Amino acid sequence: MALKIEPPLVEAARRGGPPLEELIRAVWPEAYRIAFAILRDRGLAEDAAQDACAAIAGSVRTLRHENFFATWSYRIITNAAISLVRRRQANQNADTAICYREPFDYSGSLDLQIALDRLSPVQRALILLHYYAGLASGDLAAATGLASSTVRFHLMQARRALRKALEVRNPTAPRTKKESASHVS
Amino acid sequence: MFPDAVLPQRLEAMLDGIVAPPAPLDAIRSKMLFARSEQRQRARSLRVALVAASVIAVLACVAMPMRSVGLVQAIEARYRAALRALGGEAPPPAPAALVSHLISHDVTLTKAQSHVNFTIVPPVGLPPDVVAVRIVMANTGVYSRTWHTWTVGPPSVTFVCRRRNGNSFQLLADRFDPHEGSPPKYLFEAKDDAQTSGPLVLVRHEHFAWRNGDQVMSATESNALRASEIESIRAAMHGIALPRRNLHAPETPEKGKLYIVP
Repeated sequence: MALKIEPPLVEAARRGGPPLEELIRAVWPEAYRIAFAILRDRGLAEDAAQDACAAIAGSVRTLRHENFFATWSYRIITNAAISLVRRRQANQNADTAICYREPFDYSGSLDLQIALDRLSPVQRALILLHYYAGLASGDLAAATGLASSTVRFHLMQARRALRKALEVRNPTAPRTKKESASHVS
Repeated sequence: MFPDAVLPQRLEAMLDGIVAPPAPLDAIRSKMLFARSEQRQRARSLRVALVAASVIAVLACVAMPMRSVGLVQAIEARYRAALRALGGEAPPPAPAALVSHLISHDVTLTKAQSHVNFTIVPPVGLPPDVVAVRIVMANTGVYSRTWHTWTVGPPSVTFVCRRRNGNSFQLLADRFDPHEGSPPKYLFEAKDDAQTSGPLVLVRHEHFAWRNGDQVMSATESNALRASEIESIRAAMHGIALPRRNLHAPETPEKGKLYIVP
């Protein structure tokens, strides 16, 4: 899990001390990256990351234990990003893939980036949270507001779409047994 | 190649390539303050928001009975944006599944009466150029502040009146509930073509409600129905005007104006 915040800092923020701003500064880059990876728009990502940081700072006192901070924060960040997508797509299904304008400026991950672009924002969020942040299906359900069974279905669909997109770009790559056998925790 | 073991590293490398701008502490601070002030506003403005929301849901469905759920929600969103801008608490968007239950259908007066638990008093004293009146039934959407959920509420009856020039207006009939509180004096609507950035432009509509027995009839002034015509209908029905609350109205005597909310 990439969001690594010192437990004493979280504990101090829970007590409402001055480190609240320090906590925001620590969370902000990761909040922005996750939001951008889901939304693929700098303005929207900033907006979602601001919402998420405000929510994290405003309710960190309600957090039961600092050990849950990272998982809890990822849920808030993803929720903020997906809420933004849903607000902007009031007339269509939030799970529909939309056109994005701003590609990542990172050639090393170009094929993965293009493959991710083919997913819907919700599916991208699930892939990121599961494979990058290490969240289990229960947390994914809480973060996206979907039922656990729906989460598992979307994740399976997303993995299938990713695999297909990556194979098209690299047709000689061998498939592994683990790839076809793995499933959501 | 897509083994699960490789994906986390590749995602991490991809995310490392995203450069985050400096943390906008001021913007985040103001969002925190706004959230707190919204919580404080919640208690005193909830009742008005609930009344307005149920009226709006019915209005939207009656006005566009054959349109898609998305369009109904978009109409409702304009009122919700206005409520928020004026410092009131607006319920979150109603889920599509619920809104689909709010789609209205035409009924006869007898059928409408059989579906509601109040005595329907049809409107009289309508403007002379009204050429057709339909009776439409629709369920109301009710938002629970306690459970933060939308549920389908009791049905309401709407008289949809068409004027000779093609414009239509609605008169809503509902059961009088003494615990519901006073209806709002104004309904505000965010202008449809409002810009995404910059000030929000609101349109103010005066709202009227009167009682006949256990029925409350309400109407909102619009291009199709002037406030004076609503007053004439109320007088012809011998309705008792309900006191209205003016919690969110800007301090100005002018009517039908646009308000800029920074």
